Amino acid sequence: MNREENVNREEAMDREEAMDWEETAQEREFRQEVRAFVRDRFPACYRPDPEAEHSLEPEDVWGYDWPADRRSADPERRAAARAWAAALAERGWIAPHLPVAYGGAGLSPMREFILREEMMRAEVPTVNGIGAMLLGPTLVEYGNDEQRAAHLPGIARGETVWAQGFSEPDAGSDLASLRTTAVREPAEASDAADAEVYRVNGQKVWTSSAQHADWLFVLVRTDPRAPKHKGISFLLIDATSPGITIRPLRDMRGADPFAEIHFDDVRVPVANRVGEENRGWYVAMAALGFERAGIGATIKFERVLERLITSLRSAQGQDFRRADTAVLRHEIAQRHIELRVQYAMARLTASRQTAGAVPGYEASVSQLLGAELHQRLARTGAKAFGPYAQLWQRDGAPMDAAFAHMRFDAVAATLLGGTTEIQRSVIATRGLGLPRS
Amino acid sequence: MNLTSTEDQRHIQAAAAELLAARRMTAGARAVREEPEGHSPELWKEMTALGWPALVLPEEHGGLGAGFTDLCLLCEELGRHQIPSPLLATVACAALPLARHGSAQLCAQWLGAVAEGRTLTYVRAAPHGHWGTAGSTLTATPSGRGGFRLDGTALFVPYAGTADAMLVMAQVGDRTELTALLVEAGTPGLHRHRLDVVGNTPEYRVAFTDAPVPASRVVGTVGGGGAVAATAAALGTAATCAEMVGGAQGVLDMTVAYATTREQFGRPIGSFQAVQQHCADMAVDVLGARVSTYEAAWRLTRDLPAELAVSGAKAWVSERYERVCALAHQVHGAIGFTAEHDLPFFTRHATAAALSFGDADHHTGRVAEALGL
Ligand SMILES: Cc1cc2nc3c(=O)[nH]c(=O)nc-3n(C[C@H](O)[C@H](O)[C@H](O)COP(=O)(O)OP(=O)(O)OC[C@H]3O[C@@H](n4cnc5c(N)ncnc54)[C@H](O)[C@@H]3O)c2cc1C
Repeated sequence: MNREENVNREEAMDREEAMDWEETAQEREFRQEVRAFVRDRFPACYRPDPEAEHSLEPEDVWGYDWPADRRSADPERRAAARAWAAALAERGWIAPHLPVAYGGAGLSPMREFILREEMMRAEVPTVNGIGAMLLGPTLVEYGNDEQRAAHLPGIARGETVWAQGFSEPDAGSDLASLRTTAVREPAEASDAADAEVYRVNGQKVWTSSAQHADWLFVLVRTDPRAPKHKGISFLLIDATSPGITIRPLRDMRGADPFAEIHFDDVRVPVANRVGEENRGWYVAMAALGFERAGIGATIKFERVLERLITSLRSAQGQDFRRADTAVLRHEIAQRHIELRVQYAMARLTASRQTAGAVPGYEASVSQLLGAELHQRLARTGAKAFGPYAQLWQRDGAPMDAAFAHMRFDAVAATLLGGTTEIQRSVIATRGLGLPRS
Repeated sequence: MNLTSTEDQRHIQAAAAELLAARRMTAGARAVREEPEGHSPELWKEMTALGWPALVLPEEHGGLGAGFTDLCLLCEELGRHQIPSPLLATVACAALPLARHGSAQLCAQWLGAVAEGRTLTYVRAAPHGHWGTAGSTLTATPSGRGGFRLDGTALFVPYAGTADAMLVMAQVGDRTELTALLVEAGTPGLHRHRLDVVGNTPEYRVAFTDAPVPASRVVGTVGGGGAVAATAAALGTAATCAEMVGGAQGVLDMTVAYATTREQFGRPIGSFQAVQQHCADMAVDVLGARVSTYEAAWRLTRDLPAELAVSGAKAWVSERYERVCALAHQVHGAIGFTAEHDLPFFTRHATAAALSFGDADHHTGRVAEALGL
């Protein structure tokens, strides 16, 4: 059969399959393959840490924080984390959408969706999603050949951990007002031949996992006189460069999910700039646009809701359950309905991306819905246990105090990755085409 | 898995949208409100000529054999343009249940007739107007040779005034199991009275007094009507959701258009953040309504277990469509409160459709039950 016939047949098959929620035989097979892989290759000694707070990255599962585990004080945990990354890397499944040449698996959005879904269901950790899911696609799109060759393989093998240094103390929602500066200066004699550098000064804050990172991708101001969006550049910075100080920040739960970073005359080669000088804002917006279809959070919520229902029906759960359950019952059903919708949206997003459809605003809608659903779910789950919901200690608490902790995790859900107020503005202006304020 | 629509489906939907947009002035909810039929018989003829009632009926009975999802796409367009039509009641609530449960003779007699433009409706009168409970306020008393005499009153029967026959859920004597009967319009002792209701669909009180129904009109078996009612409810609920999705999308589109053109303080109101946030919330509601409805419709098309999907969809869609309308009123200001504006027709639709086949609370309760809570 020649190529054209092939294409036509594929198209004909597409036509039959459209508006079809059932997986194709190949998709089912792939799902089985992922399940078998996790079963065979996930290191048995890599166990969830029962005392840990939940990582706040959407695709992280409870009990694991891979960038931290990789450098854990416990040598066994360190080895287990690295073994898991090595196993995933064999398949190209750390950064599955990257081309095979860079260590990815060249998976379609639909396959990647299935891979993530199965990893979440198996409750195994993701290897530095910030590098794989945010920076990876950005470099493919905006990086040059040298940058891709230098950085993508490290991401795909789980050898370099990346953190995203965008926010600053005075630049949160209004990110474009950022003040960290990068001033170009001629090469010093000590520098290699034509190695022109930027001298970077300033401060970043709330940088997730920065204290565990090898490299940072950072927005800096390269033209202080230009309008605020037009004087920003996107730099890749080695976290061990002289002049960088990284200090972990404690959150309201007592965990350290993020850090602040001070840059004090840090010298960064000009060759580490992604995209043109002063065009970094647009590169950053694209990076934020590589939004995750939201499958990670959805599966996590689904599982915790299932556990809640099972617990309420168990003997132990009956002891903790509040006496008046009419409203609770209704609320749990509402959460179930909302999760179904959220899951369907994530599938729709992946399916549309795979079909090459022009991306709509599904991903933003999905993120907004998911963030608020996280908070509602946490409240519903806590409510189920009446006064016992105040137990923060895991010991002797219903469901190991999962919901007491989740109520605090969920406080961050409507802030990180852009507040829900900002998400709504994005949907209104970019999605619905309303005029900007 | 591929959730984009097929070429055929896009074609169906685009053709439907074009026709309905062109007929809105003569066949829309406003135009037919005072008409005795409650819809435009001319448009129904056009739809019949285009094969709409035949679309999802089996081919052996003059249908086109398409999947149930395609019917939902038509319902969606009817909702988007607010065109009252007996299509949903005829096909989803009566003809398809008949095709699944009815005798060969009944199917031969009625499905071909529907494909050619005859209309049907569905009469379900559970005690106290409860949704989804057992029993019926209509009693069928055996009257020799397997036939029945039918007595009782049912409320909220759509398009009963023009329907050529009705799929009636009755109980035989004191037995609570249902029996489904196909009752023709000319039956003696059948009375139909149009009700004044909130929605745009013409609703009737239907009363039977000693109305004779021959044995051959039993759909399925005597006492086996529960299965027929379940089919009618599942398909009717999903198709109603589709109609509501169309309505909600229509409201969102109309609101975005208004917010872009209406100016206050020297700029479009859509540039104010509070207004943008209302619109963004509407977009979340509408997209959620669409995906859950499509999934439910697909499950029914494939004959897969669908109770959770259908109830989940109806709960979400009912609540969210009403919220979409409320937010739309807020964005429109006083103009949306006027009789000249089209928004009130959507609001009426949302209010009434939420109550048809069970409101959000009812379906949320069903989900709770299915979850074993
Ligand atoms: C757990 C966690 C992890 C994070 N990880 C990272 C990271 O890895 N890298 C990184 O760069 N950043 C990270 N952040 C920072 C995050 O992106 C910011 O918190 C977020 O963008 C909001 O900025 P802010 O906290 O300064 O709040 P502000 O911008 O000061 O907002 C305060 C309030 O004002 C509202 N507001 C502000 N502007 C407007 C407006 N125009 N219209 C309406 N309301 C408005 C906000 O919605 C919010 O309600 C993280 C944050 C958290 C909580």
